Amino acid sequence: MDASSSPQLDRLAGPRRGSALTIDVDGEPIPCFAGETIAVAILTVRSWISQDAVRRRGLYCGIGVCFECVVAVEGVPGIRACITLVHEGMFVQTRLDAEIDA
Amino acid sequence: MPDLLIVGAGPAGLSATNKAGQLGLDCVVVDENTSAGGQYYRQPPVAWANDRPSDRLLRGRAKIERATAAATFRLGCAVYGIDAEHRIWLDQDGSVERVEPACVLLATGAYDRPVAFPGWTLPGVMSAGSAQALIKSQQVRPGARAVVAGSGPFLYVVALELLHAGVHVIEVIEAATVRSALPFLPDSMRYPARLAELVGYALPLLRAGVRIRRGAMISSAGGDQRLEEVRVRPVRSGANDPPLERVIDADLLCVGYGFAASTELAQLAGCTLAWDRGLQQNVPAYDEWQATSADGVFVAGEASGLGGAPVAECEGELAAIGVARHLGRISDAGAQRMAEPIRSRLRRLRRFASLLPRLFPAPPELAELARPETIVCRCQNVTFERALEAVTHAGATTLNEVKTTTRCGMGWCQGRICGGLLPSLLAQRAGTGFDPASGFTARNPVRPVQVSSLAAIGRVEPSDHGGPGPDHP
Repeated sequence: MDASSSPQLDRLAGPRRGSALTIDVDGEPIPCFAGETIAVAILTVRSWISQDAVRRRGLYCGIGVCFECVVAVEGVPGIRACITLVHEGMFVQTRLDAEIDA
Repeated sequence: MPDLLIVGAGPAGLSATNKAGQLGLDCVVVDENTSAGGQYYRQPPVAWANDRPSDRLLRGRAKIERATAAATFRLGCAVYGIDAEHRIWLDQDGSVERVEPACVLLATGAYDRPVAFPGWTLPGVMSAGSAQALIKSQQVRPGARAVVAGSGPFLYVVALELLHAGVHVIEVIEAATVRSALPFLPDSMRYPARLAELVGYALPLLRAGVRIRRGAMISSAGGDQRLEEVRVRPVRSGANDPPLERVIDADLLCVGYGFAASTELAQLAGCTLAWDRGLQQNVPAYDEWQATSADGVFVAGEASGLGGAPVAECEGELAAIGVARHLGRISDAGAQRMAEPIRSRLRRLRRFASLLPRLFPAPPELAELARPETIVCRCQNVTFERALEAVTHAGATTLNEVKTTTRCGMGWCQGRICGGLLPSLLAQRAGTGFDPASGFTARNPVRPVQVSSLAAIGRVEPSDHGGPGPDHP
């Protein structure tokens, strides 16, 4: 893994989290915990959330205002990864160019 | 239908809910977050055990519990439309409905004011509020090596939270200087407790070896597809010298040059707006009951001007009293009696709050930073050069005119980000002619919603790009 893709976030040791679960991000399983947002789940394994034709995107406002972190969930685009919680088996697409419309 | 629908479950909305409950109002609270609390009382997920909750978290939790008993809470529910009769459209997980409350309280809060500088779109560059939310709600460490840049007390709050989360906070880059604050120090001295609070944030940072640089600001951020370095410069430099830059290795840059109020629902409800000097934007005007010019529409908290949580809480209570008075549930005399102690507290709080933007102004030099290739509209990846050409070549004088030629403001965020930064940027960089007070006209739906939902509702006019978002019609 090169420096540009090493994770942005790591989980603090203190709190006991929700139950362990797995989401599917572009076909890759990502382990995470109930109560976490999609953004946190993704950013604990890499440095960006999504990618459009021009650039990689991360978190910007982080509170649901800027839509920088939008992904598609179960094929529905425009879902804000920063305020949407994960659930078991959730299917997330993070390529914002061609693939999502397919 | 409810007496009162409150949009936003932050300090203003929660205080309003509790007061409305005491006054016997039938109240619904809507918030698109999955937990109540807003930014100030942001809570971790309820099921997560927390051995060492902070005082603020506990106060917030108590307040939320009281409010939850007093009203119906709709969390994870977005308001995607409002009209001039303050009918409201809600979207909960794709299922939509229309509510016609007797009154509406807009407690929609504020967000970090966006600033466009080279590299600000790199992953790893985020608003100070974003880093705070990650720590408080999600209990994660937002980065390993951080620079915190901006102006005002919020910087130190966030820097301290980063430190406690185990982040190596390298520097706090504060635009204000002691000299720039001097004219306001005599006034500030009348609030020793609040000043002590500020010092209380800074001291542990200094003790932990965090450098606090005053009179400095971001110059740019750089890295290969993610943040790797932050360049910092003095706010002011010699007339002809390029400012002297320093480079700091970092994987997290938190930016906080003040706030922008969320006003689109107020605009769509037909509220008269007035220029706010502290926020440098138009916000809904309101009377002594927090009532706007639109009948039955009230506003409280940061959505109508900066004040911080204590001001927001007072305004929320006043608004609830105002609603009960408006609906004839309490007499005018009774309402006045209830309001008076809140108003006197509010007057003092507002006096202090009005000092903060003067003590910690966002420097106008921030408008020097954008380069031609710097993205100004993140949704549509529109560059500064193109926005500038809309003014200098195509003759745009308002933000709406820039929108038609550049697609700025036509993306998912509906111009909340570029609309917050472009007016001052274009006014300064394009020379004369551009109106720094211009903004995008708000349009329904204010949140993306599926076309099928719009059709089902039938009554909300689709925005000019139609449907859920610009790229996925």
